[in-house]
Amino acid sequence: MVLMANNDVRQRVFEREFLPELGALYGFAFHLTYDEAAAEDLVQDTIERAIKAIDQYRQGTNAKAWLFKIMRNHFINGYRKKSRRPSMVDYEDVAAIIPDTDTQSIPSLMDWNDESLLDMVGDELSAAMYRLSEDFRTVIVLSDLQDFKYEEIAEILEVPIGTVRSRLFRARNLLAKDLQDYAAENGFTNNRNQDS
Amino acid sequence: MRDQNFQELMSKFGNRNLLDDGPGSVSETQPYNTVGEAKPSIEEQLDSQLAFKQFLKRSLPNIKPSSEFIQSIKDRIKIIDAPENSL
Repeated sequence: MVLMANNDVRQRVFEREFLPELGALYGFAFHLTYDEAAAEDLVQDTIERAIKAIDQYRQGTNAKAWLFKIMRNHFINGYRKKSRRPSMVDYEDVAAIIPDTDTQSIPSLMDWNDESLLDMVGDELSAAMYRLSEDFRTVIVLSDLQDFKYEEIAEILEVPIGTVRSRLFRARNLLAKDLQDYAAENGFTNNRNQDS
Repeated sequence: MRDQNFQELMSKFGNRNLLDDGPGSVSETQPYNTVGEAKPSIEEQLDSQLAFKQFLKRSLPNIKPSSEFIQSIKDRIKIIDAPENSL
């Protein structure tokens, strides 16, 4: 651990490398807590923890990934225990027990490029994200919203890259299946296999 | 992946991240077509993964903090104490 020269350096790191990530941190916090006040608290706690550990951070490296890792660990260790959401079982805990049925492809009957699909399932998408387990929702947020690479996600979550890939694959499958079922129930027909 | 055939096919393509990347240059489509010919559903799977990822990217709301909250963070941590002191 290399101590930063002085508080001016620390202030500079905070302003130039940490502050620009506040928006992204808040988005991640909201997807973890689904509560605006809790998300703000989580961001604030994360920033304070980052400041206290600032000398462990190497200037000019990946501040975003470092901050996300702090947030996620703090959430796991604290917030999740106090969460008002019903406890959910992590997928990996039961994968050996339940049939592995979600390794099939994302439902390819839907044309995900169809703009009218968004009009149909837009609101339901947020609800479907909420219904995912925290592990599945996290990898989707980190990969598909925050554009982290697999290696960065593995570092943030402290899991092997293979786990990131399989978890992301399964998460997308579950989410897509949920949306397809919703669309079908509401009579949406952009089925690519249907004759036009 | 538990499909033995899929494992054998994947070993021909090295470490290409087929889950996220669709076919790019012409040279990439050649082995890709081989996969498609041997097991058409794999090509569909890859296309679906990429399309769905792009769908999520443009469809999920970009949740942002209020400007008041951002300012409160800046105000709260305006002067950074030495790490050993609590904030």
